[in-house]
Amino acid sequence: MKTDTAVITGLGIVAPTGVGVEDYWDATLRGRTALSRISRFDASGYRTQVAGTITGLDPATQVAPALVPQTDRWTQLALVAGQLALDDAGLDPTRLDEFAGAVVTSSSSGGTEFGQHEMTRLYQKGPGHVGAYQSIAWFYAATTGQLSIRHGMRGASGVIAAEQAGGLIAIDRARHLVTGGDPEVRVVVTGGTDSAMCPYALVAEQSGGRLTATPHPEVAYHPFAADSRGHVPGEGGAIIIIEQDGWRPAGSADRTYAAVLGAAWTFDPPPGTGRPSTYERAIRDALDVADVPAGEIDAIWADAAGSPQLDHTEATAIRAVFGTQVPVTAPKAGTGRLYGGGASLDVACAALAIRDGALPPFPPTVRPLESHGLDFVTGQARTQPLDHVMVLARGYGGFNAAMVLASYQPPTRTV
Amino acid sequence: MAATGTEPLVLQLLASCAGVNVTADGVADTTLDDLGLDSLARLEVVTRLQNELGQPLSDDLVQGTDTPRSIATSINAILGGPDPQASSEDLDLDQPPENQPATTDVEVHIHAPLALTWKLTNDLQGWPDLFSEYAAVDILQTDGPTTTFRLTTKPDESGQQWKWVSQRTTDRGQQSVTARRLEPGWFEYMHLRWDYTEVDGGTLLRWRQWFRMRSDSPVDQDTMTTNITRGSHVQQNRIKTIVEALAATTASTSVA
Repeated sequence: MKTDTAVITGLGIVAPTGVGVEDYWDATLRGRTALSRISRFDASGYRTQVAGTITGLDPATQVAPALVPQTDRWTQLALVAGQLALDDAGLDPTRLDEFAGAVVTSSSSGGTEFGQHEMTRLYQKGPGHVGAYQSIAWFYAATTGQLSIRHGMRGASGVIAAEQAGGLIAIDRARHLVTGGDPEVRVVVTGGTDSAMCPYALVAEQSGGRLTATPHPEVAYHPFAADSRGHVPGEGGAIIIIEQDGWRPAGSADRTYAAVLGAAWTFDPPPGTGRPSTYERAIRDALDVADVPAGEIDAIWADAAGSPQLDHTEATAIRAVFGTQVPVTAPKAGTGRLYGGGASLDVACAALAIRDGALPPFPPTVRPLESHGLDFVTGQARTQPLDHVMVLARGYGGFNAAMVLASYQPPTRTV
Repeated sequence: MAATGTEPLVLQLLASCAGVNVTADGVADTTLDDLGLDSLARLEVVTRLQNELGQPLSDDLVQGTDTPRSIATSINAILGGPDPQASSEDLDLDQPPENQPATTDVEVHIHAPLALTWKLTNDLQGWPDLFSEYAAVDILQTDGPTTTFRLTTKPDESGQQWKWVSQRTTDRGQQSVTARRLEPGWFEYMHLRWDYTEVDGGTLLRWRQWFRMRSDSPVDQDTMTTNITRGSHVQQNRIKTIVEALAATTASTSVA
């Protein structure tokens, strides 16, 4: 049974380009880029030496002292973002029934930095030196669990592990829960973060072959451009509050950014089979689920993988469904790919764009190829009404996902 | 190891493992439950203590009802360092001085072989069944004949459960056991000695205790002496019944 609409009422943003909604949004509209040489450890021996890191915030100083030793930075970023999002939504979870709130996050690789630290102890000193917190800090569900405990939200919760596509699937799971998928859940803390910023994570990512090899930040991540070289990793993401529209007696409509109409996801055939990508099908399915014709999509947040073949696949899929006229943007070129947090940050970005009727551009250093046949948003942000937008995301290994957001129309009251 | 021994280390680990503000007043005497540590946090503290000390430790060493000070006391005992709360008088239990402020001396004749009596009364895991007053025995450390353990009493009339850590050493050749409380509680010190003597085919079990009450104790020495003496009789008679019953079973079984 489908009831009401799922709406975005709170955003908690922790991104390389800004922490908090307004800092991030201001930087994004200006096309700011936050890519730099990795300084958290000596990355000189690695294929990739550039990343989008959060410098304006030490999450460990922002979470309860007892949680610091038992959480990875990725979880700490989510705890900070989660509080920002709840505050933004004007929600006090302690006033919620414990089963009316749920937590569904996206995680790409769990607590890699924490895990590396404990594994180093394992192979250098032995099993007796691995800390007890390893059992809860590095697995995918750690962030969901800590958010759930922190805010006393015990409704149907979970974690989605689908690399960069996971954010859209998690948020759609939240939509499902508050629109009749669960009889009790009214609010979901969703989205996700990531912080795969350690040697172990970098080595794992290198094996995928999609990371850029240049040490120069200004050219490291140029999706759709002639000089594209792959992507750079980034950390952070967004925690997003999804609610059932109208369940709160008063006030929630004032804070509503956008409605989540629906999403779809597909999985690609194995490489070498010759069978085509299913990306286009994910896009079409999402439009079907959302019941929005392709012609009504006003803008697209591209996955923007940053390598020629993957960008070509995406441009081809977009053209096949939408033609050449729909504006396409990728502010993530200024943050790097945030994996578990990436698609969530794009959804937050799209929600802000809908709120303000402003379409943020690619960073100015990126010059997408005209030959892709798409209307890339470059230079200045565009001011235009945005009624429906699509966010696209792909995850390494074959995940494709697409989500449709809409401007929020308060239900007309019958007197 | 200094008198305060491992207490600074325990506090440091509580800060790093569980985010405890160890500069706050009274932390050393606050239970881990009240400091907000859950079971995983306690396990982490034990792991890091083991790493720091290079000494295997039981998970039971750090319980929710422990305080940083009681943990340090237990560790100091395990490491063989001085007990920060123990009396400075180093008693020779083989020849206890005559001027002990308080002593108790209670014995019982058990009609059972010494070997069986020894075995049953020195099986610490069996104490909650053997004694009527103990709810639990947690073995913290075993080092040859010496065992460090925590006793937890059953609730008294007011519902209070008492806990303390003791250390006992058995001497099978001498047929004796000496023990002392590492967490003395209201005692300044508490030392015990058990002696087993073969008498008329049975076993004479003698318990002696030497102690001094703290000046701020709610119970004075005479009252405590009376209580211990009465309690020892009750427990010895209970042990006599249990051991004799088992001896009878063993005997009839072996006859059959």
